[in-house]
Amino acid sequence: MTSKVTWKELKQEYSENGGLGKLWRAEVERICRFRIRQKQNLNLPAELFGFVEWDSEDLTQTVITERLLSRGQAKYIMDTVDDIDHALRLLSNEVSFTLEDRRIPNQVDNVWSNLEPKLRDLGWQPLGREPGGQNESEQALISIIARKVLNLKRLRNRGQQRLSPLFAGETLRGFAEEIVLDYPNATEYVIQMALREALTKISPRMSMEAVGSTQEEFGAVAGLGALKWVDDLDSAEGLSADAARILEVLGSEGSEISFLIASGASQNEVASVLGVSRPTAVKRIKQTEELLIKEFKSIGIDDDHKLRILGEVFSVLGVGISDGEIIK
Amino acid sequence: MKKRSIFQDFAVGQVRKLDSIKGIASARLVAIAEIDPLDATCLVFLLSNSTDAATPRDVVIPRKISKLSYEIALMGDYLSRADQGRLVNNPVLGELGRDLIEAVRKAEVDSPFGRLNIDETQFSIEIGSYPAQKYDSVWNFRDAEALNFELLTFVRNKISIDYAVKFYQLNVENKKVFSEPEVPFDALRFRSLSSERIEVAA
Repeated sequence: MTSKVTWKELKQEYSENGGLGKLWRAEVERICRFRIRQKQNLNLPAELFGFVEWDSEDLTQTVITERLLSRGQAKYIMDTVDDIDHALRLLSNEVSFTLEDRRIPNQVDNVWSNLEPKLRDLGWQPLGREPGGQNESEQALISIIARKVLNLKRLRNRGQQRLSPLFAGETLRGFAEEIVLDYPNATEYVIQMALREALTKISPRMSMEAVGSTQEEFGAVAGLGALKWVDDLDSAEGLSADAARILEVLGSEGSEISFLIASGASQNEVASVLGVSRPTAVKRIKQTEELLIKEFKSIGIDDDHKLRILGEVFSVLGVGISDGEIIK
Repeated sequence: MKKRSIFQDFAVGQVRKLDSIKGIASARLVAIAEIDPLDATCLVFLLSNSTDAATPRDVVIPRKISKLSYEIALMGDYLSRADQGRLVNNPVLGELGRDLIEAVRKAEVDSPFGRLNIDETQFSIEIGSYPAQKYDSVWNFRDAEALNFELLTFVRNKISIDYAVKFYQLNVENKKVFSEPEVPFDALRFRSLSSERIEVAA
């Protein structure tokens, strides 16, 4: 990722102001704009992240107040960083964390909407809850169930820029059976609170970027890889339109399959995410491949441009590209 | 008048920045766990700001204990040796306390797997609770951190010629050190060779 501002300038501004200034704000906003564009390309509504509408200024303000100032992360960056790439990677992480923190309630809803039918199939009844605050036995049960959720096998991480499913259907079915058998008194409130407690802990899974070594060594996972790839955010606009059109043709299942295959998922893993058998998954993978080939043939442009569009498709899907390599 | 250094001497528990190696590894914050003046190195623990993703092998230290402006996670399994030269120019940012460092080192040995067994209330700290699973992004993050830390630090080999040369160069003016049992054999040989040269020259 290229940046017009240098680390020296950011550092100087911080020292002179005794805190963040215009340059810092501009860099945070630049990353926020990029993140928002990715979310919009995935058709993710702003409400999912606790915003009324997608507005880079709102997100920038939230990142600055909730992470950089309240949690002292700006000072951490000042204490640790030696170059602009490292600073941008850490800032990018802060933007991701902010978005994930705000998404937890919706993650709970998502998992709950998958779990509830499985519980009901097993005869679980959503018992009412006694009015009043949380009592001790209720709290103890929440902790136990939260621990169970934490121990559930999560699906392999497929990048941070999208809504990955957390658990395979089979895993949730097993979990539902365990609840019905071992904790028949668990109310809807208890299970939801347990999910909230567990998902708060799991949330870094969604947002953590590689803040490792140099860009050459580790690139950056997903978003930052994409950020680096498209270098100039403005020139990416044209590519986005083509990529969006291809994704529209692929549809949600096709996009999911493309994402999983591009990030190295096995046929079994694709099957578990789609909730189908392996032979069916193989068939759908083949169909998606054929669709992609057909779409790219119809574009009728040079190979270099096609590759850039493919890169943008991956970027939108949440698969990063660094130094020509696909990274998750 | 003797000019006073703005930099503090090394002490166990100090939080300092470990300088980056340009083009190879990024800088990180570390906590000093042991100081070895003989070869001018320190054993250091890696610190991370990712307290949300602290695992049961990490210790989350609040601001009031470390005197830093942010919460920090001490990554218990990431202990390695760094040259003092890459720490000395960086000011002390915070202090974790010798007792806490000792407790972490003891817990590392006593409980090599699973949760670190440290009294959280005694030190007013928290042991991380993030349940890392293979291939999730925290797993990848820790992998990248380990690689970066490995590039920033090294494992000392006391029977290597490098260690002997460094030992000799750093202690050439300090005769007492050469009578101690830990002195590398090759360092003794360098000393003996240089003494002979002085005698011949005289």
